[in-house]
Amino acid sequence: MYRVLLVDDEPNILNALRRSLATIDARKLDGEALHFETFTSPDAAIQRCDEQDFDLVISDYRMPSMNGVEFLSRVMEFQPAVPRMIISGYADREAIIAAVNEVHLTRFLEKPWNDEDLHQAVISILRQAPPRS
Amino acid sequence: MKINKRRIPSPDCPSELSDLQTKLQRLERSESLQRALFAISDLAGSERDMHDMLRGIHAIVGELMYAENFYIVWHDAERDSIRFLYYVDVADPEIPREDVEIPLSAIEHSLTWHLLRGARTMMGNTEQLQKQVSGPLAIWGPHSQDWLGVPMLSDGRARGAIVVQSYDQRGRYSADDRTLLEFVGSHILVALERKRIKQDLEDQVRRRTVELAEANKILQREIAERQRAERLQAALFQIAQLATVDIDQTEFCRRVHAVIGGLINAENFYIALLSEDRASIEFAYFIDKTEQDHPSRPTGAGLSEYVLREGPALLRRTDILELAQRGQIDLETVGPVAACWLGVPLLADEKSIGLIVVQSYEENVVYGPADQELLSFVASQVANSLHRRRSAESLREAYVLLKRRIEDRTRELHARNAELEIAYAKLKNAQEQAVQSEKLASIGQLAAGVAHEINNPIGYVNSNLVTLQGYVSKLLGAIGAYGTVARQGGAEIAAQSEEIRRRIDIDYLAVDVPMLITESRDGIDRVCKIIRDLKDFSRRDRGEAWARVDVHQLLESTLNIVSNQLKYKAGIVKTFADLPLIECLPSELNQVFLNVLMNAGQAIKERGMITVSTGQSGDKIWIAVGDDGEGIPEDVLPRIFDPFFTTKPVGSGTGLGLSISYGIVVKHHGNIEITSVPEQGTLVRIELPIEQPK
Repeated sequence: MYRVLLVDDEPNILNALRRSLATIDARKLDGEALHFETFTSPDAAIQRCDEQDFDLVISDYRMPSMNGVEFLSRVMEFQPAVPRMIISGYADREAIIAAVNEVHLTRFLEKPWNDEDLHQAVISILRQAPPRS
Repeated sequence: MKINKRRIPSPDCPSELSDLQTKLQRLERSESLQRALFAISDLAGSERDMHDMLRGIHAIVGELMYAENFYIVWHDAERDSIRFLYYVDVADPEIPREDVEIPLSAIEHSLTWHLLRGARTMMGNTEQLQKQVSGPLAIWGPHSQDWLGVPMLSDGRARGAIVVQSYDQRGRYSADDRTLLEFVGSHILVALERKRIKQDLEDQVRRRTVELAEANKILQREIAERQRAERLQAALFQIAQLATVDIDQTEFCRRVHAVIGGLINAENFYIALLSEDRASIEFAYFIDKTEQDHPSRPTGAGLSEYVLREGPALLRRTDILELAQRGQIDLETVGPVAACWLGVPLLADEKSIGLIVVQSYEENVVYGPADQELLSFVASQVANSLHRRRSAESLREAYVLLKRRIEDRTRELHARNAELEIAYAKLKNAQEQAVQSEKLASIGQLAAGVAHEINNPIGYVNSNLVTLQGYVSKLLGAIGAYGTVARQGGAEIAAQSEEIRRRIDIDYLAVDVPMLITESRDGIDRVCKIIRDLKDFSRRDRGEAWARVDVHQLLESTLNIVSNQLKYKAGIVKTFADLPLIECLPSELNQVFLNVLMNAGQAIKERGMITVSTGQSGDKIWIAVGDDGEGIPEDVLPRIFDPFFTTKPVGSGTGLGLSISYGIVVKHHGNIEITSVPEQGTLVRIELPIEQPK
């Protein structure tokens, strides 16, 4: 079972992401199921990372308490090797570059996202390694 | 006038007769005396000169008494000297002349001396006379038998005296004689006085006349002097005036010569000027009997240089030769030697700038110190005038130069002004563009904000619709499967199942629900597109690099993209010129071309033509896209670049295309212009610089 951590300050986004990713055929993931954990609070998510290893972390960029890059770098303190994605509508080039360089983003997706692109990205990332937990 | 002589009474006559005779004699005497006095008065008043008068008086006295020896002496009290105005004597050989002045002291103690000193009549013989004087008595000349001397008194003082004397028996003087002589004396005194006064007056007049003549002479001299000075003044004035007259230097010298010629002999005359560097002399004006002309020469050992060195010089021929001998001058340079040579330097600010010279080759024409003084005055004025002329000249030159400079400057300013006007026009244009850009920018910011806000909800709605589609598809599948299963369960179940199907109209739902979702997704797609366009619109930096690109390549690729859209509606005519590569952002230009071509296509309703042409003008290239479509109305044209402004029906565009294109063209420092005629067509002209400004 692949564990995926979803963080966005908007609950509807979280639900949409979860629903969308849930439709991925398990066969595309070598038979592994997908398990999602969603957080609207980055702090709570960070705390969770201390407790649980994940196979993929997907975060928004623009969030009230801290931005996605900060969040991911905090996550890296606990799980330095976990694949990291940012899905964001905030088209700040500088921020994107910073994100890629600082936290070594695996993928960056723009909102509104294309479901097909999203599925492809997630599948290709998860398949690179067996589940950690 | 006949005067009866006195008759000695004869002893023969009776005493009565002698009385009568005596009385007659007395009367006769009185009459003759009276006549004599009248005559004397007459004489005295006559115009005769002194000597004539005295002679006349002597004659008259001689008729009254024995006056063979008779003299009148005059005493000048001031000088204490005497003069014998009249002297006759039979015995004395020494007749003093009447014009000889004898100091009184010279005849001291003489009878005359006593007479004058005593101021009293003296008469008698020597013995008697001795008693009449106080002090010693010296007898000059021969002793007289009888002597009568009468002083001529005025204010108690003896001004002179009359003396008669006799050396023999012939004369014996009586008291009557004395009275007569005294009387005569007073008349003579008056006459003498009068004559004297007249003489004095005449003398005075003569003296005065001489004085006046002298004064007149002096006055004449002064007048001559004054006139000379006036002439000189007039000459100087004339020369001063020449400073301001608009004539050339030669004319100036000629007029100076004319003025000087009126003052002194200037037959041979020249004005020489030193050059600026003082290394050569130029003979600005030269008139001479011996030479026609005189060329300029470097400063050497001529007379001119001598004057410039030493100052004014007034030289005779001998002086010149002496100077040559002493080596001060060189005769070769001097040329023909003048008889008299006068040269005066011209000084300006205490520096000699030249000299002025007159000379004479004739011995009878010479110059003197007065001429030198005159020439000096003239020279100072000439130097002054020259200086002023030179100043005026340099001022004129400076003025001309200044005028030219001003003209140049004015031209420069005009040119600059024109440049400024052009720059201003450009600036205004740029400002307008800037304003437009600002508008776009602020709208862009708004758009960015809005886009971002919309992003999230659109994001998940979109995703949810997809998910929903999946779900619905499964549900419908399940319903279908249930139906199949129900049909297999028996007629009653099948009937019930059929009933449900009909009631809910599953068939309709099966068709419509998917359509609903599809259409909803379409809607969301459009929103996504709008958001993307908005983002494009607001995105400042795509992170693309500037590159040198062949615009034709961009056009061709864009034409490829749109050809599918356009091939049924429009024919495309390409007219490409030879263009250099231009510095640009290729994908952005592509966007512009795409937008413009799409607009052109959309303007054409049924069938038409689209022309694409390019060209170069100066440091810019241009691309023109024309269509023969419906055109743009005049009232719409100004708003064509406004964001969200569109004339297209709802759903076929965001109205951002041209705004974005405008922004891109501005970013390239280019220009985009749209001209259109409704019902006829539209032309879009884009200008881009070949090189981007650094």
